[in-house]
Amino acid sequence: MEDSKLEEQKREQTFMEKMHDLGTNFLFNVSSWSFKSSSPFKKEDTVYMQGRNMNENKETYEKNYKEVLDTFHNIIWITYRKNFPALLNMIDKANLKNQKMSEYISDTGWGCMVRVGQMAFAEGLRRHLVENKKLVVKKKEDLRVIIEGFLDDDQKCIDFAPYSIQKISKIALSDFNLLPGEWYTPIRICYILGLLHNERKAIQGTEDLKVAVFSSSRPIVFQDFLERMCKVDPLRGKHAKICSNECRIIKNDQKSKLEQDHHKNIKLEKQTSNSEILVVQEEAPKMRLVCPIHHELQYSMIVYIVCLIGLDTPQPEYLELAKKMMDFKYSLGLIGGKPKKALYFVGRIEDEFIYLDPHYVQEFSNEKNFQNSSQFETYFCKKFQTYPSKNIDSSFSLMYYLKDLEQLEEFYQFMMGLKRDYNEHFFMMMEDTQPSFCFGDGQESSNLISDKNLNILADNQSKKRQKEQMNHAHQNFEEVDDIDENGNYINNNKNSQKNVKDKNNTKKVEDDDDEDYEVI
Amino acid sequence: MDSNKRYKDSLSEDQRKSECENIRKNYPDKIPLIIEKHPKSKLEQIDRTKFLILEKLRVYQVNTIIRRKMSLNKVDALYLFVNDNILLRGDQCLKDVYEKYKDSDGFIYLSYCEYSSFGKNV
Repeated sequence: MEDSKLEEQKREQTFMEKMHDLGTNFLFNVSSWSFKSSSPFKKEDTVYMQGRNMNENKETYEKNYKEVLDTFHNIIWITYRKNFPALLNMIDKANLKNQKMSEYISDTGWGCMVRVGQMAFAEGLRRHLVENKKLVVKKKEDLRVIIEGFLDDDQKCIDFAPYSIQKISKIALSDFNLLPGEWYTPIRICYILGLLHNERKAIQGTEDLKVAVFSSSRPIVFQDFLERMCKVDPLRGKHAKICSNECRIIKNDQKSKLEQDHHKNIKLEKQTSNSEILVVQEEAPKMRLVCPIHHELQYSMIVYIVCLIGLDTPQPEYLELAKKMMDFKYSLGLIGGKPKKALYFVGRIEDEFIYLDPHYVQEFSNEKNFQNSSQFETYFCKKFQTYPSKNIDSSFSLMYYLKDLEQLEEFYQFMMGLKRDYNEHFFMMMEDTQPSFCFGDGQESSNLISDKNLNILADNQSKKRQKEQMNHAHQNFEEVDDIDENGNYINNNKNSQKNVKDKNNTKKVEDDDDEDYEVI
Repeated sequence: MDSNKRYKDSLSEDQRKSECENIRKNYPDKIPLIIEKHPKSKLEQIDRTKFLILEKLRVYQVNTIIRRKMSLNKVDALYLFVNDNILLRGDQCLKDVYEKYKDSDGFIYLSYCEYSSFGKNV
């Protein structure tokens, strides 16, 4: 009964939409012909997939080869879908300025970044469930519980399919004013999925998993990682913080144990040879991030670091580093693409990225048709394809899964090691705590942008600020002296405005040229 | 000034040079910057092109100044490029960047750009 009611509401695809789908699928098939049917990689090639070195500990090339393909065929593949219930409900539409907007019952031509975000996120959920032994994947069918979260029809109940395209579209509209049919950036889809997961509904078994989204344009602060992953410190009654320096020094004598005083005797597991220790001593001492006394795990974490490393294609020196970061063992690949076409890069063969391509239109899935094994099979890709890394779009997101604080520590050491090695070519800012040049910056400096509440606050603040700025935008000459001794830019609008006014009154502008400048 | 026309194209090199020299005399501790929207960017144009900024500030602070001039969602990011092609990192000191990349006319040319969006119509 209810089914037939829902059916009635649905419209048919138009002729143009059908042609569009045919064209898309034709292109998908053509692009996969170009792939040479011979083996995808040579014996000596370095192959990484989702952080796993596929050459390691394997006797034969044939075995490696089979394992790479098996892994690829088991990754959840999410593509364009058609004929799903129209995006945005009546209430959403009533608020739209453009009432004429047609009903989207397919995401062909615009939803590729949404789909890439979904498939990468599905892999994150899978890793969490498998690592915590909440899911044993012996056959593809075992992945049903994950894929169900991403079906294209969530009308059954409000908690059904928590990461459906319908739910994504709603957040896109409310938070970004982004309509169906408009294109997504990687950071927006990462943020939306994080918000749906953290604050709405997580699929069963992933309640102890949180998502954090960082942008490489702002400092990435490890203090935020601790705050997010740890329980509120029972001794200090506050959010977890990085301990004092003494507490973090990695001692060379490995035999000493943690029992007596963790501040003085922290064990270092990785340093086994004397030579390594010598190298360490020459440079600045390495510090631990995690303290076994003060830090206690609460949540596992999916970490997105959204980067821009060039204009159209990546700057080569940065790409080298990005590859290293992608090879790290807790990596889940890259959410990126070629220019305009989003792709999920799951690994690499030397300089070629292995990818899953969402640009293929299939019939939508709902609770009912998903029971058929033929529909279930549409979530796996048989076409193994690679793309030259130097041609990828310069915008992408790194993605990691950190199960516990030990893994966080490894991640920290890995990133700080790269920072030391690459120095000026390290394309992001990674620090223990907020750098001093960000202080006084208000909410804007916080890079933890998956908190909805924080976000509303910041939005209101920025709106206020804009209004104030509009008010004094007419002044030709602005001198803002609100920078303290340490070079901190202090965000104190009221005072600075006063300053500006006072200065303008007292100081006469002598040179006409100055009028065009904003002086800071 | 025409919103599409960039500063460098609007004046001859000599004009730009003399303007820069003038302004530097008045503000020896500040760096003369031309900051424009990158041609590729879909962000809004900011209300100023010319800036004089304390040389001890970091690129990140310049980034924040520009962010505040537009209605940018907190989630979205802004990146600065020098001469339309070299990416700047936020913790670089403005003075160092200036020494390294200043133009022959004395200004340093920055452009801002956001993440690419993805979608493909057939």
